[in-house]
Amino acid sequence: MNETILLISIGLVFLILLLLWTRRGAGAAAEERDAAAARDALVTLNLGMPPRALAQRIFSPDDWLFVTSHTPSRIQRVFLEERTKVALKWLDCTVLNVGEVIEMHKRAVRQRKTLLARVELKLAINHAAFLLFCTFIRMLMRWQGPFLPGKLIGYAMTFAEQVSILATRLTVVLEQRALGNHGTFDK
Amino acid sequence: MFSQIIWWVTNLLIAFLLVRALSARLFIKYPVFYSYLTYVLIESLIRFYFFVFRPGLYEDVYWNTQFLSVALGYCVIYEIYTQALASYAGVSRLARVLLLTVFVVIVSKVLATSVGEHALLPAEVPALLERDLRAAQAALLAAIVCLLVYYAIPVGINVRGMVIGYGVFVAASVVSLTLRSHFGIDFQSVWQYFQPAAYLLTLTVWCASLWSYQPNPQPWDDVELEGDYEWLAVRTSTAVSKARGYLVRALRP
Repeated sequence: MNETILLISIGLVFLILLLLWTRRGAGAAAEERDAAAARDALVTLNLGMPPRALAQRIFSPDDWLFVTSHTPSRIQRVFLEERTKVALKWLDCTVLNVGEVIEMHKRAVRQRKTLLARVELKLAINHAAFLLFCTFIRMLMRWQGPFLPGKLIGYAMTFAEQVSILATRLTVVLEQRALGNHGTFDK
Repeated sequence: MFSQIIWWVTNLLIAFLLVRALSARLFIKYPVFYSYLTYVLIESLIRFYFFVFRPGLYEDVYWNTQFLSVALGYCVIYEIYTQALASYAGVSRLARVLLLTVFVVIVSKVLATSVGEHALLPAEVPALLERDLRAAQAALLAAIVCLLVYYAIPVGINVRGMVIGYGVFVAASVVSLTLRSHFGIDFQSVWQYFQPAAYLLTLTVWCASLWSYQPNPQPWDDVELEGDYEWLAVRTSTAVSKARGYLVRALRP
């Protein structure tokens, strides 16, 4: 029964993948992006993140402590909602900047003959782990607001890192199997 | 009656595709694909002969020709891979590694399983083997599509049509053969229409997308960056690590 469900799932998921790819369009051009800025970000590692002072202001617990000790609960609720929106926008901006660097990397390497499978896979896993961490933080912010306890951030970070380590180990196992079958992984 | 109509329409469409391929010189552009189609047409006629005049041998002829068709299907997937990634040496190399790994892992599993299917009725074994081989094809095509999406590689309508058409057929085959093996003879009446109907849809997609030669768009937006690949990869990895550190420091003021 499990095999039946698995195989039907494979067929249906593949059909959905084809449908999504069809809707994406033939040769869909990338969204309008500042290619020069993304190229510079990759070369100089100046990722164009929002200033640190801004981030410190958004997540500083001082404002929240002031609001909770001097205002009624209705005001506290509004403050928390508005500050959460700002924090989520800041997070989206961070994720977008990193995404542009990754896209720039892909466009730069896709025609290079020296492209290595294991390196691309590790980069993809690192990026996926980063996105997973951001997704957790986003969920936590929606639930508890932007003033998150350090412990929760630590858990989110650890979970994302464990997923990354597991995925990296899996690629090593697959690489070793392929080496056992073919002699080299990247020809 | 309905199945006969499907059979005739299917063969007419294949013949139409082949005639069009000759007139538009598509045979030269996609030789493996059109060789596969030629085989499918010949196979259909051979099966018809045995079905009408030698029905006792039909089942053996069906499965033998079907497995050859599945094998040629792998060649079609190879042609899709070479056509789609012709201008992208790096991704082509990556795809070769990925497809080889998927192929070896899945086909090894398939062969190991089929050797062990001694408890099944003889009639069920070829259907299960075809199911597993089609599932492997689905995995290979999915890997190619994922790479095309990940690296934002544009493909022309010919190659896109080949992928979508053959992909639909492979997916429908996996689902129908799985249901057939699960429900047994009760599903036979549905299966004998479902798979041909899926192939009819496939041929319709191919007729629409392979009317004339449409080459893949040439890469126009690729980035020129100095530095070798390893340097670039290290920069990108460092950028992601830097972003993660920035995030954590910001969240823990």
